[in-house]
Amino acid sequence: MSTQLSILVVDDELLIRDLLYDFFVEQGWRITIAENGQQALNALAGQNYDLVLTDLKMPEMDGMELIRTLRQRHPGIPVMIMTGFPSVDSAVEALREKVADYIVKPFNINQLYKIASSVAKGAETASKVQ
Amino acid sequence: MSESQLRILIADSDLPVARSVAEFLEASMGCSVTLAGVAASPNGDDHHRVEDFAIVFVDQAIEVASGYAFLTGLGNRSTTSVIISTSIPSIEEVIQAFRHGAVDVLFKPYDFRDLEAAVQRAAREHRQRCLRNELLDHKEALADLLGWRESDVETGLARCGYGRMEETVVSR
Repeated sequence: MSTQLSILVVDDELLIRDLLYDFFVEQGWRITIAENGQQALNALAGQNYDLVLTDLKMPEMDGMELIRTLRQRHPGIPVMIMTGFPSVDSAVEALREKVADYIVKPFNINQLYKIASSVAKGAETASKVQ
Repeated sequence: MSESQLRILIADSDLPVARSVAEFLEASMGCSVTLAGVAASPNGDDHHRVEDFAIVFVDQAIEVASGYAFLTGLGNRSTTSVIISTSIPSIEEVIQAFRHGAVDVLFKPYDFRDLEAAVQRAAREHRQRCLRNELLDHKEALADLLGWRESDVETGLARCGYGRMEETVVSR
């Protein structure tokens, strides 16, 4: 595993993309941004990521469709959801798709970062706790 | 392992509901079901050790009252799949359930088709965890065979969905 963690952020809101881009770059991560699920899949075809952080409600391909496709094409990549429209149904669906966490917007970016770091390092951590 | 060999524990203070679920799982899926009532705990205080079961149904109210004792009491290499049941579904409860490592959340009153689907998913997860443990027991040989470090075998298993990567989040 490389020392620089990598994240793919998928959100149709420019403000969120900019906020997360600046924050994760500042923390030393390699970050790629996508505006919807289709762009995210294109990015994933080119390189691997330690974490995908995705919105749910997006045009063209929404977050759940992206996650289902990810599970088939890249089953090992951890996924976190961030949504401004939380619902019991989408949270349960996320749970069944083994999503690592479900964050409700507006979020505390430090809290989100703490969770994202934990998830991205998950495989490494899992090996250490055996 | 077929569903008929599944051992299931149901921990629910609503005994009539628990009994009807048990009857359904035994009659239609051939599972072996134990009812635990509210006194059950992961430590086996009710003579039931959670780790001995493939699947545990636990009522959300019991988990909240006990500080998620069933879920947090499971060891890192546990193969038990925990399903949380609740009659008052809320977004916060669902998030808490899966942050603590539950594999599913079911809402009461149960739709038996949903129940059957949930048991099948949980059984699949249980089998994956059993396989993961078997592979980890032979990680030295696997590492040798693949020319990997042992830690890379563990990482590889986690990355292939045979780890419980999400449980690393629980401790935050």
